[in-house]
Amino acid sequence: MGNGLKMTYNVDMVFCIDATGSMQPVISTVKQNALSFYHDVVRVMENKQKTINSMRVRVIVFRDYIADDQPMMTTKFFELPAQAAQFEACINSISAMGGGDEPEDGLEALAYAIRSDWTKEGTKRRNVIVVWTDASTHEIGYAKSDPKYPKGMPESFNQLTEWWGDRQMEPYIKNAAKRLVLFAPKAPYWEQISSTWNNVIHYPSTAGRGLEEFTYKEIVDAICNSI
Amino acid sequence: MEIKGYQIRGELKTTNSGFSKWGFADKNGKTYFIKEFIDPVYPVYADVLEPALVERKKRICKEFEDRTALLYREINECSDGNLVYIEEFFREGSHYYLTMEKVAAVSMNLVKRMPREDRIRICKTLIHSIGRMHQRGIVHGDIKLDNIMFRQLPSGKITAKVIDFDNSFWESEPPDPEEEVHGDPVYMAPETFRMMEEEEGALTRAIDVFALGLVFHQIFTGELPGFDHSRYDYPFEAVLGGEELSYSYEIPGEWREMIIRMTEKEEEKRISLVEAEQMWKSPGSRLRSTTGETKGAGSSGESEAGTFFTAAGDL
Repeated sequence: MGNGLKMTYNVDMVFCIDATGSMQPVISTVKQNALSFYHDVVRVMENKQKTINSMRVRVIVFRDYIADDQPMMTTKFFELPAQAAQFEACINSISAMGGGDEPEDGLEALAYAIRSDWTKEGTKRRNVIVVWTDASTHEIGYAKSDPKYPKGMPESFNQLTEWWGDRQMEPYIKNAAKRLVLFAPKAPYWEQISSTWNNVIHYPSTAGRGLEEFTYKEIVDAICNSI
Repeated sequence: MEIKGYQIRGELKTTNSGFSKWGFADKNGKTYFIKEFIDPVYPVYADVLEPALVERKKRICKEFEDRTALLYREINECSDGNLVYIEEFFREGSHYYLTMEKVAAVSMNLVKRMPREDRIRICKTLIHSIGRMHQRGIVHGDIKLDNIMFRQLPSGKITAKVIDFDNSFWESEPPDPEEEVHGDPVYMAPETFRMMEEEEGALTRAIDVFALGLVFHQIFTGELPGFDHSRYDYPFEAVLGGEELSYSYEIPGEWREMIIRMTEKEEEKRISLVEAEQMWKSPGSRLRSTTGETKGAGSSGESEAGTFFTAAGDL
């Protein structure tokens, strides 16, 4: 609920960053984009005479369960701007390495993101997940036999799709609030997601190449205009 | 790229869009605006989903498709030429698309320099055009300056077209009060906010009237009505807070009075667009206020990954 007669706009964002070796050429751009988001979103919103009351950002770094020692790292939500320094240090601590084969475990990262502790406060809310990757994904559960693989993951892509929900079912994330921005190649399962899930904007990239071809302004627009 | 015979110019972009993708496309020698909806999405990759989920998604799409097609048909039917014409609404693959006539818009700066009489003519046009939607029982739902396209006629006169019916609804089927109401908070009516807070109530055509009142103020002055920005972020907050919006005296008297009545706090006291139109159709008639009131006016960062990240465990 809101705050008396004041409208409150609360924005939660989860950045899912592929930090495997192939991202090495572009990881600094991705990190810079992630760091610039808060100020750019606030600036664009102010130009539209709109106010964001609360913005929180969470980071999920994903690699490959079978090939990597640290295949999936997550943070809590950082409150911005109050925890901007911690957020910046967190982003700067990410290094691109490992990954093994070309598909990565991006679907598991998405599962963590969907199950985030989204804010329940605010007249209006936006729950935005942004994925940066240059690789396709394994099937969900591909690494199930690996001891590092977590319990509680969806059993199938169908179940992950149910977690994302739709106009009739919203188990973890409000349908009107949710947005998924994919900077990912047209490859399994990103293409299936953009062809079956709602509220997704997919900016296709070429596998093995960087993400620099996407204009940063469009990314900010995609987020600001949904708020 | 081609979508149902439309040759897309470049790529569809999200620039300045409310989270849809849009662009321009050519078909049969004409240029159109084309928009791709992001919700709902038709399950094209049915093999990766179980049949029950595919069926549910198809039902959601069918419901959306039927309702939207009917709504757009009725909007086209009630247009006087100043509601942008919706050319086609269709599905191609997993997404729904809308094509509309391309409007060659002129800048708001040109509108600001127009003689007062021309601005009055534009306001009358908008009252008439949106009023026709209201007479049909349709609420636009997202009236704002960005959704008014100003265009220059061959005669040099500037006229206005209303665009973007994404949030339109039949007054008989208003949005669910428990769902988030889309639309721009800058132009939001007080009752919309009350409904979102209390999760009850039904929105009516009066929300368009409130928003249009604010747009008229911008057309006459370039600015929204004044309010205490140190206390409120949006006009509706000031109105709900008991503050009187400050309306510019640059605005011709009767129009100023009309804007005041369009932005009344209580929707039942707000003038309807039918009444507004009567104002200039009945020479000598004066607007009367139903209320009889006169309104005037961090901590330091750390760099080790382990400080921030924890190995992700079970869900």
